[in-house]
Amino acid sequence: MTTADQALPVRPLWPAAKDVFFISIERMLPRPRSFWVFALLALPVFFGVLLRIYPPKDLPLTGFELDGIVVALFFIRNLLPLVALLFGSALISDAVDSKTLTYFLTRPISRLSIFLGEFMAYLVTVLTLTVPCVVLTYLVLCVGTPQGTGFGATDLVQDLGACALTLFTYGGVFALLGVSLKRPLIPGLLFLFVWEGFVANFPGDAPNYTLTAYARSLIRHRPSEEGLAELFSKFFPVGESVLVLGIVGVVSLALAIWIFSRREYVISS
Amino acid sequence: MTARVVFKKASRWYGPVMALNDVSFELGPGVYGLLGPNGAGKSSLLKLASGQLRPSQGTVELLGRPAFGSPDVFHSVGLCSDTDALFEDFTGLQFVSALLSLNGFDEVQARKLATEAIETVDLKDAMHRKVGGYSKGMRQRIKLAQSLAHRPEVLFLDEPLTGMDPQNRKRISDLMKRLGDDGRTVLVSTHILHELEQVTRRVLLIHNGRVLAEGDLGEIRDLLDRHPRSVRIKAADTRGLARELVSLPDLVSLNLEDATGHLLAEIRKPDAFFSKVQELSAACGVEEMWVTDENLESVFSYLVSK
Amino acid sequence: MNRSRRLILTAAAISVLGVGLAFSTRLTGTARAAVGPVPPEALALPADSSVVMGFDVKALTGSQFYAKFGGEGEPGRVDALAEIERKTGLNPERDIDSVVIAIRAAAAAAASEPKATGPRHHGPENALIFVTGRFDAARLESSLPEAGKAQKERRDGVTIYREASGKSNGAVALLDAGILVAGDAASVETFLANRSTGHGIRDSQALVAQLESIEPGSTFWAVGGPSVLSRVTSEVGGPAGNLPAVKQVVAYGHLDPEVGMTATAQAADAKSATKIADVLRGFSAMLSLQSGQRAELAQIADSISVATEDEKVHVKATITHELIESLKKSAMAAHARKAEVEIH
Repeated sequence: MTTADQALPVRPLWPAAKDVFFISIERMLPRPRSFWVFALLALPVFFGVLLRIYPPKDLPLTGFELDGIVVALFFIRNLLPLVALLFGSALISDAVDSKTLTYFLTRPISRLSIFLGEFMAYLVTVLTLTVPCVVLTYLVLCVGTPQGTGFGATDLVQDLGACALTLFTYGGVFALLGVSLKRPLIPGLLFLFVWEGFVANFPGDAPNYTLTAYARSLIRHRPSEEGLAELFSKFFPVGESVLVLGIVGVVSLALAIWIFSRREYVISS
Repeated sequence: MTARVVFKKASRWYGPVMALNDVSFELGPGVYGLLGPNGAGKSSLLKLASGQLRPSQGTVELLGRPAFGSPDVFHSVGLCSDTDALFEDFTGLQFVSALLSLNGFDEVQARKLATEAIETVDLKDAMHRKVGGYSKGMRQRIKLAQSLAHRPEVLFLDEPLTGMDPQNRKRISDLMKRLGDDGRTVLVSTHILHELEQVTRRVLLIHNGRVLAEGDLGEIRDLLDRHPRSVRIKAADTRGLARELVSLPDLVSLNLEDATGHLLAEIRKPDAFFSKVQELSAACGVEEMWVTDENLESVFSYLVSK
Repeated sequence: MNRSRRLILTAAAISVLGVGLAFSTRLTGTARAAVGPVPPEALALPADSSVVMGFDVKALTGSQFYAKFGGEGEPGRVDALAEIERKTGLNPERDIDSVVIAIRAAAAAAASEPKATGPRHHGPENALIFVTGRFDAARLESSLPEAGKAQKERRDGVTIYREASGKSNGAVALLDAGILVAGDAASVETFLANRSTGHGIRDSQALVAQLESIEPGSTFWAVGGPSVLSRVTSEVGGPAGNLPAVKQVVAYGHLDPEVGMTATAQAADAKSATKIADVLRGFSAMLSLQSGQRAELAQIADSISVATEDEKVHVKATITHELIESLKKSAMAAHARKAEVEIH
């Protein structure tokens, strides 16, 4: 006879989160959605190859500048937040829609473990899709240029760090949206393209209240003042940007976990 | 009896809709049938019992702890839910092993226990195939395997026999009985009184969110036997099966559905009918059999009016 | 998680190989490779530089030539070096490794301004001086002109000092890697921007070709483009004043065991090249004619050889240390005679 006194305790946080991760990553990464997202992320590689095969005359930018612009505008500004929306908002809602959340909720693991495992799977998935594309874009645009492939090696590492932080922060925000709303996609798109898209370029202090203004500030190393500054009205110091993005990501995740831990999920046939 | 599942004046409503109303009962070791028509509140009761939902009023205790918000009790609890949800890209073995890993078993232990559980539900030959390719009956069995692989003290089985062929219905019924005899608490939600009778006589009758009776199956069965029930059979040789069944004395009607190729039978005494189908299952290639419960609804109406 | 494991491992392999390739080429490959005598760090000098010249200070101060003619033992020289070190913490002999000077197109234009229009611009306003060595940032800072009025800014690992008095527009950037860049503020900013963007000398194929034609190990060298050289020739008086325009010049040389210099000038065509060669040969002949008065001039004339190759003119000169010693003695004797005459 099992009673509460004899029962085993809830499994420790991280081992349980790791086990959830192994299940979730298999259900998240090798999916058609991942394939299409990867195809989108790989577009700069494709166009980069075309650019190298058919170079336009009098292109005023070096490969490094072009790469910096692609990372800042294509990846950081547009696609990565979208990828975070697609995957981050679906963290729990996918398991609810597929009715498999029950399998996690009826195991001796805390909801915090479930959420962390799912979020780790999200991060690994989006990084697996993103990082090779960023690296290949760099190589395609920079190999064989007069400055040499290695010229922007440290910038490349910074770019990867910026991408990871962007995915983390937006992932946290959209995970919060995902556990708070039944249909998070439309509000998420509105947030990305209305709030982030416009407010970040308002004059004055308005950009302070957008994530993209901080995220793009991490990519100021190449197309610095003369290039992107004309497009973006405000830049923040790198340290401040990292701090703000980190705090927003962690706070969003904490709120998402708080909501997930208390919410009931009515899953029925 | 030491109670493992305790409902004390438990109610649950979704907004204005009352799903369960002032339910109280206690379950100790053994097998219990949970019987009720669609929408009666069976699934809500099982969700409350398995800690997926919080009672709106009253309390639900599982192994001496509040069922909701006590994940530690799931070391000793198994659930086979009514939802047809699996990790479609996993093989049967991966599916059960992965869920065992969530219980804290290492890879070797998980694989061993998963294999044993899969053998128990007679799926060993298919355990390396993806569950996405399983038939309805196989999906039910793999769900059952994951619920009992960690050898829980308490098992909640929501419609576990749905879609199974007669042989497997018998196999799983026998398994449930063995589990009950072993001293485990098994709460089974099902429409198939015939098979329930093989494993237990203890039944919770539920209708419109209320437990109407906690009692012996015999009385319920007598009531049901007065009302014809519909049975749908999927078989390789439906015409041959129909020829054999048509002579049964308690058969009300027998139709071959053109669209699906299924055989639809209305029967009064299910015992003889099910025995006959089981007897013919190999010869006629019987794959699946469902009992529709429209007539059960009429029984409950009858009980309520009584 | 077999499928996801395969995907993750593939992605990780691509990423690690890509980043590894970038870093390995950074350390060993073309990105770090110097262009001719220009060190990798100086490749951010502007591509629109008309003249780029450089000195291998380490080779210069370590040479026999410097030992013989560098003025060692002369009290004035020691005092001057000590004074520089006292003020800046910098001993040029000890602390400077190399110097590269780039004169930008704007400077060339300024240099060719008509004399009547005002004073000629000299100094660093339109030139960039790139120095490698070891610098004491604090003492260097205190020695900046009108110390205390310079604006100091720290950006991306670089300390930039700007002239704040308004008298000039100079700036000095002290890079953490032991590199100092000085010049007009705009040019210094251009250099720093080029460091970030990858622009610089490599953008000018002509400049790269000229620099790569310089003999490795040269102690001093210079390359020049058309915008400055075409005007220089027109400003030179005498027979050289009628020289055809020179499109570019590459010159380099060494100090030991004798002073050698090689220069190649590129004219517009073969005919112009022949004309330039004739003028230079005429100049050599004039030196030979004066050998009666000073024998060393004949040796100098003999050491100069001029040859043409299509539109190019090659000039080579080799002067022994003994000849320089002899010239130095003659000059000192002449100086002494002049002083004696003034006393009388």
